[in-house]
Amino acid sequence: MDPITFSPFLGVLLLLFLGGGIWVAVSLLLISIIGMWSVTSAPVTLVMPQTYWSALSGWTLTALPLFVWMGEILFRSRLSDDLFQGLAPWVTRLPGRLLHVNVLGCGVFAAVSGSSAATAATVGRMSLPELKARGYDERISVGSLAASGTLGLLIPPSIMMIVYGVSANVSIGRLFIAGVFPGLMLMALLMGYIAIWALLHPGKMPALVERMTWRERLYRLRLLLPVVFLIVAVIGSIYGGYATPTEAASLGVAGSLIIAFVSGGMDRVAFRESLYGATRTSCMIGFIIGSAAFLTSVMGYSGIPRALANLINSYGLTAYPLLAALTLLFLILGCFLDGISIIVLTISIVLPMAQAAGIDPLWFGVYMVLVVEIAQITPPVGFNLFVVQLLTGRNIFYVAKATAPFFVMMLIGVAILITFPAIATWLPAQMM
Amino acid sequence: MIRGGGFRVKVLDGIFHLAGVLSAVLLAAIALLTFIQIVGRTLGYLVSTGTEFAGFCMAASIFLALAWTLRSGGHIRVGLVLQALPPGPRRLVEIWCLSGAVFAIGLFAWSATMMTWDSYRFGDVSVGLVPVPLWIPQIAMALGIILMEIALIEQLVLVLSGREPTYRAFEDTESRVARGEEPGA
Amino acid sequence: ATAETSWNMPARSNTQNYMTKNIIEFVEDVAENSGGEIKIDVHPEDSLVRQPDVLRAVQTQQVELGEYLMSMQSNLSPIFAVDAIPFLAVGYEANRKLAKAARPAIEEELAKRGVKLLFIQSWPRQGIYADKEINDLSDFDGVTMRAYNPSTARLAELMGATPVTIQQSEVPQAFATGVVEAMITSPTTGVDTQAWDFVSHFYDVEAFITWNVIVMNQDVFDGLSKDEQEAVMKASAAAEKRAWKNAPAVTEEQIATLAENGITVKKPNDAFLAGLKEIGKAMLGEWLETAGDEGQAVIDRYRAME
Ligand code: NA
Ligand code: NA
Repeated sequence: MDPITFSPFLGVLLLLFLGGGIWVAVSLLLISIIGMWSVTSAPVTLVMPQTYWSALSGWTLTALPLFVWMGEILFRSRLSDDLFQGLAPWVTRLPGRLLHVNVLGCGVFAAVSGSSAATAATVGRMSLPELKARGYDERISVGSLAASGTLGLLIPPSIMMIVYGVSANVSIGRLFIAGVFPGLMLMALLMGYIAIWALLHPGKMPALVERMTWRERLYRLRLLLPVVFLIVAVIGSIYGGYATPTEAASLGVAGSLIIAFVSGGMDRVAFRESLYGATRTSCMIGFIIGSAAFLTSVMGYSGIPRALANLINSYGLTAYPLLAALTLLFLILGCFLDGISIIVLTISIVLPMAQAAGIDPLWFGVYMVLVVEIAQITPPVGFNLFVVQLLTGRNIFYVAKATAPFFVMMLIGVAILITFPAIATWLPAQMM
Repeated sequence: MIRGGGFRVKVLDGIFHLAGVLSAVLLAAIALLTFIQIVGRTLGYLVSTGTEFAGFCMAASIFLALAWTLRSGGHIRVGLVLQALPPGPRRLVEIWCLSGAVFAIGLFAWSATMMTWDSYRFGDVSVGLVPVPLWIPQIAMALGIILMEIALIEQLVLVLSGREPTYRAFEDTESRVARGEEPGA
Repeated sequence: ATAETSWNMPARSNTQNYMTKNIIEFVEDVAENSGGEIKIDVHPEDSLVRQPDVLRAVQTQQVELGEYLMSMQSNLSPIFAVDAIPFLAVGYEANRKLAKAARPAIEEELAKRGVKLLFIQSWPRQGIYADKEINDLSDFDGVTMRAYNPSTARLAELMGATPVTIQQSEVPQAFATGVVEAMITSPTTGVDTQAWDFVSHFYDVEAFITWNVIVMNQDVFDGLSKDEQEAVMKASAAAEKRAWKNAPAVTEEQIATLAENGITVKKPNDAFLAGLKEIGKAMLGEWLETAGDEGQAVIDRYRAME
């Protein structure tokens, strides 16, 4: 069967499986089996276990369960409460107050983690219960978490930039530096939305309970010391040359265990529960990652993403129309595939197109990472949505709806990046 | 928790739980292996095999926890339709979900077993610094998926015989907790 | 094969790489030679099958043919690491002879898995990248060196460095932060990862020249008509010839690129080279111990050609 005409049918079928309540990972597995049978001649029973095995036995992924565990430990320690207590008096004048913790927390954590699911899972495990306990609106905290988790890919280190850099022959060091300002811009956009929302909905914000003197505020700062210690230890181990980003996750676990034991709240039962919780969460995420890898493999065999990219190529567009078309393509693919898969499957066609249109490959890398990371928050297949669903118990439609305004902010970010390419290219030009 | 079946359920529970605990131990092992690697390298010793074993531990941990995670409602799904339906139709949808899963995971279990057998037959070894026969870590994968298939069949039997699936209790609690109707566990 | 079903072929590098370009030319040749009967879809850069799985994928017909770094599978048989013995065959001329001498043994080893060797293409020769000047082997004391397989790990160890396994994707970061301080790899990888961002010196030690093998499932091959088999083999022979002809020029070009971007490119001095050659001898001895009579036969055949 012709893959291109068949692909909308596969999309509808996937929606049917997901909507009918079949587990996400199983839905992806089912659609991959059907897709492989109908549009390729590849042997399903051989490719299926091989892809799962390759996707889940690789070293670089091991950071994910470790960061998830770190989140579970911190959730059970007093650290998250302390963090909010310490920060609260400093943000009373800022519209949105502690709601900004998700964006800022993810921004900081993104400097440690190269993956967006790990970023959302670790930060959200701590922040969501605390925000809720303090009476903040759930919808906005859920949405901001899902969206700011994507910072993990834009702010270095980033697995996706490494994948792009090697394919496109662009310096990974330069890409990392190029991602810094767009990352900050995205943070500003997300925080800007939160602030405006808070000003427009004063009724949905919790009452301001504490008024403090400067002395008290400064004294409260000591509560932030353990967090600062943890961040410095993990980031320091990477930039001090002691650990690679993947390895640093284990230092994060060790550091949080120390903090949790010293500050109280951690005993044998809590330790076991944190480990069990992390095991189940990484099992759930890992199973979906494996299924997504299988779907990616089906896409590779079927040639659907390549055919779509070739279709765009056949129009011979100039820079701006090309970027508009590519953005649309990546958004559509992003509904069903994760970001790295999109890059891997399309780069060999998309990159020459961009170069032919006179687009700087360095800038294009940042653009591509920004656009495909939106895939993390678009239904039906969006990893950050899944993570947040697990953390909150809310269904995916609720989560997706809560994330929608932030999705719009990210699109605005893409538009700004296209209009002002210097946001990405200025800093590397200065530094290297 | 309401649950019938007596001895059979207890045995299955025990097996799934045991596999789950093993998964947890493997996850801790990833942390330990990685940590040892950092410390070892900083002190100038060669501890290079850690990465490979950590990867195997992760795959084994993920697969062995599948059944355990299923029963405790840990695999996410879109529960919107299910929650909105009255008990009768809901049972039908639940049967549809479980049948689809039994089919897909059944095929997966068979394929993974064949892959592991092939790895053994071909004598395939890992490509890292220490040649590890691949069937050893892969057997954990096959076993985990087989356990998952057994768990799904058990749940399907439960639903077909008119009872609630085990994971539903957890799913409902989780959504009630989320809605603030019930304090968290 | 009918024109409707096309074969899938994973290739190792990106489409700008000269080896992938060579493969694409091979694919065009096959199509032309077979009168359009055989169509091959090339999937560059591990986008379909990851490197470690390519042999298995070809063996079990997940794909009809594919390309991988031969020494990646050296755990399966020492024969697959014959190209990774340092200083056994220096220069492309000698190396091509080594490939010729080893070919029957490689074919035999692959045949055990129902896999047919189509052609061998060579990487540019491997050199040593370091973040400081190297005068002799004592400069490697306590230096962390990236290893990516058993032979590079052993080489680093014998050089007195601490071998560290770092995934290719983490190499730039690891250098930038000092987790690794040296590596042994080709100028191609150096250019691809823009090594000038993180190392200062490249020593063109000509340690060894690694090979990519392009292999095909034997059953698929046997299922072809005589003419089609002929078409594949003819294109393979041409591709192998091209690859070895291109490699030296590409090497020089890429070493020049390294220099242009500020890396100090040097030949090793006599003391450094002498130390390395000693290690080469030791590693050949170790290899012969594991490779046995079969390995000895390869070496004998090669020596006879010299
Ligand atoms: Na990051
Ligand atoms: Na998506």
